[in-house]
Amino acid sequence: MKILIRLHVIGYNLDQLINKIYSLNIVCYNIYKIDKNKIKFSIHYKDFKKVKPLLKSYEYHINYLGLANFKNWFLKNLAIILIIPIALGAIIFSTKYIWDIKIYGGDNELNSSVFNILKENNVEVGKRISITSDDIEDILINQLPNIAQVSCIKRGTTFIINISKKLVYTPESFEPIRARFDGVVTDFSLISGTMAVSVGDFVKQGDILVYPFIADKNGVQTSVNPIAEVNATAYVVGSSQLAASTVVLARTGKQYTTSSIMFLNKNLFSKKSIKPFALYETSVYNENISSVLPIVKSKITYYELDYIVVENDLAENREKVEQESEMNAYNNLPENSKILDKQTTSIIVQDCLYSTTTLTISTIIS
Amino acid sequence: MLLDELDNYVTKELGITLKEYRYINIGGKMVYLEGQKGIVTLNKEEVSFKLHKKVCSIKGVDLYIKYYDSSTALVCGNIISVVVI
Repeated sequence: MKILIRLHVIGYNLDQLINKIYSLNIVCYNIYKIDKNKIKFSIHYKDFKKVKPLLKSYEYHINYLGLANFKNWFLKNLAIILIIPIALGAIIFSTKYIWDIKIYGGDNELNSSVFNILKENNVEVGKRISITSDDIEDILINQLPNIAQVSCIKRGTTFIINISKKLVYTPESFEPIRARFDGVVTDFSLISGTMAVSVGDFVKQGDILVYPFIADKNGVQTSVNPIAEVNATAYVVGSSQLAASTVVLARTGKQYTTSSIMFLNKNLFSKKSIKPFALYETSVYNENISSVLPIVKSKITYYELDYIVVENDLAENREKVEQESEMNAYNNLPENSKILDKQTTSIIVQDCLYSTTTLTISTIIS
Repeated sequence: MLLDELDNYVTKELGITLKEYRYINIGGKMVYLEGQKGIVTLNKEEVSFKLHKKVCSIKGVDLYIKYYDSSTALVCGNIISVVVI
């Protein structure tokens, strides 16, 4: 079969080129001399290899004709022609395998269980699925009791599993209402729960006032959030005391003052620790010297302390001590409480005055 | 056989062989030439071929070589003259 190519050659000595081709026993067709420097002619496709070295010094263009055109296109696109079916084959082949597994709806623990079950059934990344999605769903439902629903689907190379966990009913546990203070129950209003005390009962702090359940006729208990308001007469106590002679640590009047320059909280000139008195207290006054650098002038005053015996007149201080005990009692008073009675007693025992104030209050203890 | 006899005849009578050049002018549109040994001139007005010790010059208008191989050439166009010098 005659497969021709058409050459357009531009250059000098074109007749010589034709003669050189002639000397290679190559048949030429349709030789047109367009002008002095241009010629076009056809040769057999198979002869082009022989002619090509002769064309080195010329500018030339090739037109592929008929089958040569197809052959040239085929050779030029051979790589693509080969790669496309190979790639398609590879894609089709790879779609038979799983390259990703996605699980939705489960927590970490459940997901790892699902992965293990899938692994046991040869459903793994990089492997070919040998069982159907329906079978996998059945296996997962049977082996995982805490899942309510599961659906599996293979999308491309990804295996997607959707899981719905079972909603397990867990009865909520409620705490009982306990007494916040000591007292005698005066009245209550119960909204939910079961009363553990009745009016007139004395309760201590922490005792259960209302149980967190209700019981039906058959005695079956159902947990409920206890809501109740329990009022009680409670007692709040405050105390204070004063000894006839007390030893106090007080300043003697002696003092010692020293100054130092501090840079970044470190003494610049002395690292000695000063202890001018056996017992003392200090007051420190710092003054910034520089507004730019952290240099501070520190003035430290040492006050000598000593134990001093102070004699107290108990009779004179009785009122003061009682006031203190009242104050302490009031400090212990709970919110929203009503004072019903106040009683303060004082007693001197072994040169010491003890004062106790008891407030009788009505308050909500629940 | 016939060609061999013809060859013998022309060799004896004319002193040439059948391997010499020969050409046919077909209707002034085409010249068939055998025994050529290469192109001497090639353009639209003149195509000339080297022969054994001679040159065949074909003159005309819009000339081109339709076929060209080691011994044969077919020149097409409006042929005005074919001269062997």
